Amino acid sequence: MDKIFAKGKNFIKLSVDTTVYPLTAIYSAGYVFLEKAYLYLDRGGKDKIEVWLYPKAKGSNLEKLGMDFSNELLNFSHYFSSLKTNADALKMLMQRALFSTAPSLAKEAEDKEIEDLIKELEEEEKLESVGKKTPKKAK
Amino acid sequence: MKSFFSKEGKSFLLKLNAGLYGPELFAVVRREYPGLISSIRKNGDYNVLKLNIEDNGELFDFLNYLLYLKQDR
Repeated sequence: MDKIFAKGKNFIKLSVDTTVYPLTAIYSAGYVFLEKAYLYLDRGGKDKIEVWLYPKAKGSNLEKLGMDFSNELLNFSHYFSSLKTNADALKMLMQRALFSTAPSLAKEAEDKEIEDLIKELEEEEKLESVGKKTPKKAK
Repeated sequence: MKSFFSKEGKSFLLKLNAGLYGPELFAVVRREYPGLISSIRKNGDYNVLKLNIEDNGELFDFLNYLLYLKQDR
């Protein structure tokens, strides 16, 4: 099993698997930790990012800092994956919210929908009439 | 353990992975703090920055500033 934490004299290094935690989650977790620690990021091989954490406060517990960072990673990974999953639902809710605050937009959308439907029917009708006019081949 | 920085005279050399710390960040730093980055040298997948800073404390502040820029933009 790969070692996840490596401890130095004044830092702890985490090896993060980017197939599990996306890069955006790593940056976001790092951003949250800017007050607590100094951070350095590096590539640690294929699909691995190394996060070096240097605590700002003297005498900090390095393992605790590393584990807190891992929890933050999980927190942001969950947030981004939920965001992706709920994107369609969010879009629909936003549209509804916008329409309810501006009824004219709802009316516009409705008119457009009706217009499209009429166009579609007209095209179907045209195609049908062309089919009828085409003479059948003589046997 | 390998180090990502070293002291060279009155400057510091900082090695940053180009994929993780993009050139757009350095452009902002150059605009906000002209003269802080005295040179950038490409070395494989890394950029080696020569920084006009005095001590380790400033170097680490600079690292956090880059991450702040990355996330805040």
